[in-house]
Amino acid sequence: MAFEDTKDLNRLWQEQPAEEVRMKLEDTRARALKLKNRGDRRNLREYAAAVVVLVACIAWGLREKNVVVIIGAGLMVLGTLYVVYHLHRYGTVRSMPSDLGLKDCLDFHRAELVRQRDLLRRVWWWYLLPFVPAWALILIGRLIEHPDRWLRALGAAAIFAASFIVIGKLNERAARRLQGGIEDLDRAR
Amino acid sequence: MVDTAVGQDALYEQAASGYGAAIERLARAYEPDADKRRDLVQDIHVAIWRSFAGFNGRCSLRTWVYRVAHNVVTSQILRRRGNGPALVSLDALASRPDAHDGERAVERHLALERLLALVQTLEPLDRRVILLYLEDIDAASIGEITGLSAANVATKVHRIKQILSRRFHQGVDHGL
Repeated sequence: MAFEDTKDLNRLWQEQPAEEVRMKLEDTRARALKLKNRGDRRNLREYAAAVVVLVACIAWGLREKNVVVIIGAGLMVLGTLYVVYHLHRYGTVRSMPSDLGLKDCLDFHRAELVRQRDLLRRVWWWYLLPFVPAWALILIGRLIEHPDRWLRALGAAAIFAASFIVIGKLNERAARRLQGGIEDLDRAR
Repeated sequence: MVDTAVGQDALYEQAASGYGAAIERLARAYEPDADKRRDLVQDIHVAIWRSFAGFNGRCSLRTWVYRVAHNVVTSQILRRRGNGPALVSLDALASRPDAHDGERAVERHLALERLLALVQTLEPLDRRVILLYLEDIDAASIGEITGLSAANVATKVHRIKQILSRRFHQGVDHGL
C-alpha cells in the first residue's frame, strides 16, 4: 500500500474499523452509578479494616492495667484515625477527578504527579510519626513493669525504628522518581 | 457552567455522536486488551458526561472532549504505572531502526497494526500529540488540549511527520 503523503496515514488511522462501543445516555448514567457504587464499596472495605484495628486497640487498652500502656493504646487509636482520615482525604489516585475538562493534559498530568509525590514525601508525617508516641509509650510502660527486660525493649525499639526508616526511605525514593517525571513535564512545555 | 442537567445531557449526546469513534481510536492506542479497552471507552464516556456539569464554554466542545478523554487515559496510566512495557520518546523512536524495514507491508491492516504498534510505544506526552495529529487536529488546538507551547507542538508535529514518512514511505521508495 502506497503512502504518498502522511495524510494517507491520517486517513488510515481515522478509517480503521470501529469496535462500535456505542454508548447511549442511559448506558452512561448506568455506568456512572456502577462506578460510584464500586467506589463506595472500596471505601467501605477500607473503613471496615480500620474498624478492626481500632476495636483491637481499644480491647487491648481495656484489658491493660498499666496506665502508660493504656495511654499508648489510646494514642494508637488516634494515630490510626489520623492515617485513615489522611488516606480518605488525599487517597493515592483519584478514581474520577472532577477537573478533567478544565485542565490541559500537561497541567492535569503534573497535578496528579505532584499530589502523589507530596503524599509519598510526607509519609513520615502522616503514616509513620503518628504511631511513634504510641509505640514509645507502650515500650516504656512494659519497661516500667519489667525493668530487667531492657534488652528486649531495646531490640523491639530498634526493629520499630528500622522498619520506619526503611518504609520512609522507600517512599522518599518513589517520591524522587515522581519528581523526575514532574521535571520532565516542565521541560516539555 | 451548564445551567441544567438537560444541557449536560444534550452536550454529552452531541459529544458522543461527534467524537465516539475518535474516543474508540484513542482507547485502542492505549489498551491492547479488548475487554479492558471497552471498559476504558465507557469510563471516558462517563467522565465526559460528568465533566459537562462544569463546562464553561471557554473552549470548543472538541477541545473539551479531547482534554477529558486524554486526561482519563493519563489517570489510568498513573494508576497502573510500572506494569506496562517501557515507553520511549519521539527522539528515542526516531533513532531506532525500524524492525519492519524491507518487509512487504502492503496490506492496509498490517500498516494500521504497524502504526498502532508505533503509537503504543510512545511516552504519554508524545502519544497525545501523535494521536491528535492523526485525528487531523490543528496545531493550535493540539496546544490547547495538551498544554504544550505552539513552538513545541510545531517541533513535535514536524518530528512525527519525519518519523511516519521514514517508516511508512520508505517502503514505497524501496519497492514495497
